[in-house]
Amino acid sequence: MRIFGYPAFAILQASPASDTGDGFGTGLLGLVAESSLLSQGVLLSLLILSIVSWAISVFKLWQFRQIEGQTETFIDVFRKSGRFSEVQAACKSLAASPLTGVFQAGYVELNTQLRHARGDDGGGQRDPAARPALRSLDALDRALLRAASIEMLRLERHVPVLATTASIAPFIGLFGTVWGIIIAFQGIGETGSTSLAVVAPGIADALVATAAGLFAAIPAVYFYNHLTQRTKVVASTIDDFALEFLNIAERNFSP
Amino acid sequence: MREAASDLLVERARADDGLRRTLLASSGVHLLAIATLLLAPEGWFSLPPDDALDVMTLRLGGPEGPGVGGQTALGGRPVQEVVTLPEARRPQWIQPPSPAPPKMVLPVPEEVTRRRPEPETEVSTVPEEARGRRLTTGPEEVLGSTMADTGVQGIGIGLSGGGLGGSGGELQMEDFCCPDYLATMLDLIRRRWDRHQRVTGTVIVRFQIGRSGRIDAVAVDRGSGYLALDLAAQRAVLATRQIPPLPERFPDDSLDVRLTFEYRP
Repeated sequence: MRIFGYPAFAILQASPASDTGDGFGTGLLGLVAESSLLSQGVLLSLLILSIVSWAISVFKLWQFRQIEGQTETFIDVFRKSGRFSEVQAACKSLAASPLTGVFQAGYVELNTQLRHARGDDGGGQRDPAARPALRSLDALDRALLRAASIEMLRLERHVPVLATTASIAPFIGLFGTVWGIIIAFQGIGETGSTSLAVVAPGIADALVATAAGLFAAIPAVYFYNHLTQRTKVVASTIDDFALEFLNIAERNFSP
Repeated sequence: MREAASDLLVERARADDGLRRTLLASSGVHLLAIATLLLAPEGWFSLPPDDALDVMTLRLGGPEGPGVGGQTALGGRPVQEVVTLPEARRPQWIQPPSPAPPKMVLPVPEEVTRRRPEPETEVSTVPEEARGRRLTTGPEEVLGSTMADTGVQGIGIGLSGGGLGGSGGELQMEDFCCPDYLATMLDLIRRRWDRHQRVTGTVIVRFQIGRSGRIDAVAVDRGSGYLALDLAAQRAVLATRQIPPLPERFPDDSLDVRLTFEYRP
């Protein structure tokens, strides 16, 4: 005899099929199979929400672990290197870090401006004695800002799904519960009996939906808060790095 | 027209982050969890069945519920059937026989033989008359102790022409009942009395008040030696002439009054 939880247990003990032993009709599967189509739909949607939210949670945890490790390495490389080109060479192996994207955007913008300053973009005469200089520090700042924005989007991708799951899963479960109780009362009205044998199956069916909703929602709430906090930390690191990059560029390439 | 870093940023934004694989893994784990739930041995996610069978057995004073099924249908079964409980075994103490309770009897009213104690010495009873009492003959008015301000001081009645006066007056009335009537009379006479004569003297005027209040028989009973004083006193009484009727409580038909007039400059 397979029993799911205490509420279901009450029905299963009362149901005549309980003596048939293991099988389809006595366990959770039997409970679900005997329930209404709407209740099955509720449980299916909650299952999907749970699958998605758990997948996102695990994936983002793995992603943040990778991001934080590579960011630390990238900052080490950046501060030990004397030239931007050395950092650029290391970027390929640290592609997961958002600082890589910020640095590459700034580096591309910086190179473009310096190329313009040297005058080799139009095929004109190159002045070898001229010191390369930035044409616009604001443009570089804007490029870094764009890159930081893109990286933030990458960090926060999929996280709102967790918030949505945390919000609506209990409500979906509640809906299934209410619907199950409606069906149970209909059964009471049809049989004209108030015995537990009539009331309990519908109630238990309904409570399974609530339990499933909470099962999906509780981890989603936890991981949403956890990931939001880690996103803020990485965002702060990105801003800090962008300002550092801007300072170095201004110091070395200002006219 | 394209920004220099745009290609790079777009490429990073569109990079596949590998969520699909995690989704597949999550689906597998969920299915595994459901399978575990379904195929778990007894007792993993539920109470052991043997213990659980007793959980739903209801015993509410009625006969014991079924041993199997875990549930007792309440319908059609008296839930409050009176069951004779086996009598508790208690040690029986050896007790002495209790005394018979007193019979309830109606109290018989005994003859009250109490008497007043006889006085040892003979006490002669004072007659009621000696105590100033007299037998009542019905409702009657009795003089109370309320004092009325009659404007007259002292026990006598008289008029004086100065100072405090009035102390030496004479009242030739026998136990007159109504002091307020006398006050009215004196007030009326005083209004017509010319007391300023610059001579010291005392005049007693005698007169009679009839039942209707009319003053008659005015005469100077004792003169002062001065004609002016005597006439002034007599004129005051004569000028008054009519005063309120005698009070009904006064039994006689007329009242004789000797009124003293004192002149003091």
